Amino acid sequence: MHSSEGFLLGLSTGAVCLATCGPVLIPYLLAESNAVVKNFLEVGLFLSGRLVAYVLTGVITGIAGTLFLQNHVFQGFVPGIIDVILSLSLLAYAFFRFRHVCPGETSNQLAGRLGLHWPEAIPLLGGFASGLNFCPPFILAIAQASASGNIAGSVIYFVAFFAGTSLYFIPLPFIGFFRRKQSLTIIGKFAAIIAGLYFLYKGIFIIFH
Amino acid sequence: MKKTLSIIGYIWAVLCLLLIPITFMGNNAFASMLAKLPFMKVNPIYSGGEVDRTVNHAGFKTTINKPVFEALIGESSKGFVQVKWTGDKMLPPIINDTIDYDNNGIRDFIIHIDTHTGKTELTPLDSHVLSLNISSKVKDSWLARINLLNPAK
Amino acid sequence: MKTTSLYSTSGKLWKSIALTLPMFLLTFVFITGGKPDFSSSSAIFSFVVTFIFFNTLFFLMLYTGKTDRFRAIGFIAMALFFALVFIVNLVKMRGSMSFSNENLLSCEIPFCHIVTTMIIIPIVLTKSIIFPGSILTGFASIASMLVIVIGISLALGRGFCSWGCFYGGWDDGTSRILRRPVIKNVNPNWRWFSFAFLLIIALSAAITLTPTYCSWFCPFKTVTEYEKITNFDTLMKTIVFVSLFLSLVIILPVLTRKRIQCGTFCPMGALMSFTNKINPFEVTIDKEKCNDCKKCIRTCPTFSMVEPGLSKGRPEITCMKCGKCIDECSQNAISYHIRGTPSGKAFTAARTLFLYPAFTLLVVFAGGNIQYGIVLLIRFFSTGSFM
Ligand code: SF4
Ligand code: SF4
Repeated sequence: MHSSEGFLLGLSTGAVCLATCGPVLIPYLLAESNAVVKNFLEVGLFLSGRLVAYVLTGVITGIAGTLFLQNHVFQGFVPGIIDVILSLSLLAYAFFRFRHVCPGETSNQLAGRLGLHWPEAIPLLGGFASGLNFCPPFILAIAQASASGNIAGSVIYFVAFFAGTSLYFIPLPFIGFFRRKQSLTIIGKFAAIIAGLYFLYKGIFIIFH
Repeated sequence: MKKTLSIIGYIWAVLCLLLIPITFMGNNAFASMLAKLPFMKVNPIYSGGEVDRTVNHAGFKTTINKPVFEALIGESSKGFVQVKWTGDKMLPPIINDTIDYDNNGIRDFIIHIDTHTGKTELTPLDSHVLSLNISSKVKDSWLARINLLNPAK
Repeated sequence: MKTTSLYSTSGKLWKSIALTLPMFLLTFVFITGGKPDFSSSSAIFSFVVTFIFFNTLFFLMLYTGKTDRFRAIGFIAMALFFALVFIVNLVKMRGSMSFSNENLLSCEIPFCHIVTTMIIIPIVLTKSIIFPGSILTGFASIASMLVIVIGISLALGRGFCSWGCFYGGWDDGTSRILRRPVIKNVNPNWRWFSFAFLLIIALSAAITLTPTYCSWFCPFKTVTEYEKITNFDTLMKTIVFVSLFLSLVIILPVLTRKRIQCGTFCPMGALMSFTNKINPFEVTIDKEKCNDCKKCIRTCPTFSMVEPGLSKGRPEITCMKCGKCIDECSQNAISYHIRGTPSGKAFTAARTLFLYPAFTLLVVFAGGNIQYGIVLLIRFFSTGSFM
């Protein structure tokens, strides 16, 4: 159940991830747009970078979880409060327009320099940086994963979250897909609202139970 | 090229025109064909699972199904076992039965059902037996599902 | 700009009659189910009324060139009669509209097409159907309903939502009650909500192995069947069903003149939208003729006609092929079209080729229900009871 919840959270927010971080990939993919196989490789590298970032976050979150959540003062009530606050931020994220910059963009310069010698580094680093995007869904995932109280559980949660968000990147090699980018973003936001409401309900339930 | 596309378009449209009456007129035949596919079975959560064994008593018999621990992937940590009582002629007014659901020779729970009022009492004898999930008359039989913890998890 | 009529007047009457003749046969077969029942005067009367009703509608569609105006009458009648017949049958069989544990445990719940959205992922991963219905036997078995969903998707795509769905007529009807909308300018982006909802419903159903939409969100439980209220959970569910029905199917459609339930909420509608891409019939806009009055945008009850679509020459993927925009366009710029064929030509052929399967679908779902519904109404007015 725990990992499937991570998957659900990932899926419900993945469209926004794509809308925010997809543009980091597009320039590379557009340049190679007629080579679908090459595009698959690029997207694969980008996703690998993200996976590394997520597993790393999973490990850190798991350690933090084991340190704090073993104390029973933190059990129950605190995760409930965190759920409520973060679900509210997820709702705000969906309702209001934030200017979201994919952290992958800021890594472009470094990646660009590195790319001269090692071209694969560009999508890989871009993916890694985009994985560390501290947006509400990501923070909510951190809060949820830490509740598992152990490192393995937390890593599994993040891998599931990764799987959910990554599904949206699969059609990327067929770049024409981007004509639908705006509707995808809106669907993503609506899904984030529904997921936000679910976590809000869950948080309130935990607090009062 | 345009003409070919146009012809294909019209042929496609005519096929779709025929498809609606065919779908309904041939529904029974198509449905029987579809029902043969391996995934066309009701999930054990709803069907109650496969029958494991039948135990005969004086006047009625008990059918114990295999425990159900369904999950999307792998097995779930919680599930249930479905047990059905069928009378030889009619349901006995009181069913008092001791069940060994996993057939390991050790009794797992005692169940007491008043088939007139539906009042059902469960006495767990094993730590994996949790609670009564549902108890209801179904056609000529009485059926109960008992919540379980998955021993493998 | 000069406007041309799509439908020539000479010989129109005879042409329309000739084109209605095949529908005589189809309506006869599908209303009677191939087994005509003329055992009582009320059965004969209801058959004759139903037969005339449908053939008149079809004839008028061909003769006047208007689609939605006559489609809506049949479609709304279908929704109302379906609810009546379904409820009366349930009460006859079970004594109430609610289903019991016994019905659930013996897997006797009729399979509704909307469940399709929730069984796909579990089919792939568990190789089973997560629904307490019967695979092959009884009313609305899983296999027969899936055959119907596949057949309709291939033949008409989301045209199903304006011609076949026995729920759609509810908000189609309520959205026509007021002449002018009270709430104007609803953001058309709301149509994407149903896609997000589809995503969440499909996933939550897979994760919990429960048809979550049926359990918690279906507004039409209010007019079909629901779980017996035995505890807090079932009470909550009933409150949710009734509130959704009142808000999405009655109040909001009345106030906005839009099909809010179907256009923004129903996950099956969202799924069917994708099938619009795999069938030959579509709605197109001739940009040469269009004078940009935007009446179609205001008229479309499903938020499918939007500015970008207008300039692209076609509505959005969510189009239900109801024909309302086509009826309303004073420039005759919008028409049914068959993929691959030249645009701007052969409107009548494309429309007629679309109308046959679409109208047949309407007759299949509505015919039997309306016929039997009339029998029930006669019984009610003569005896004071439906039973
Ligand atoms: S949107 Fe849903 S309820 Fe509406 S017509 Fe389509 S399937 Fe039926
Ligand atoms: S675009 Fe036209 S045909 Fe399609 S749903 Fe809207 S009004 Fe109906």
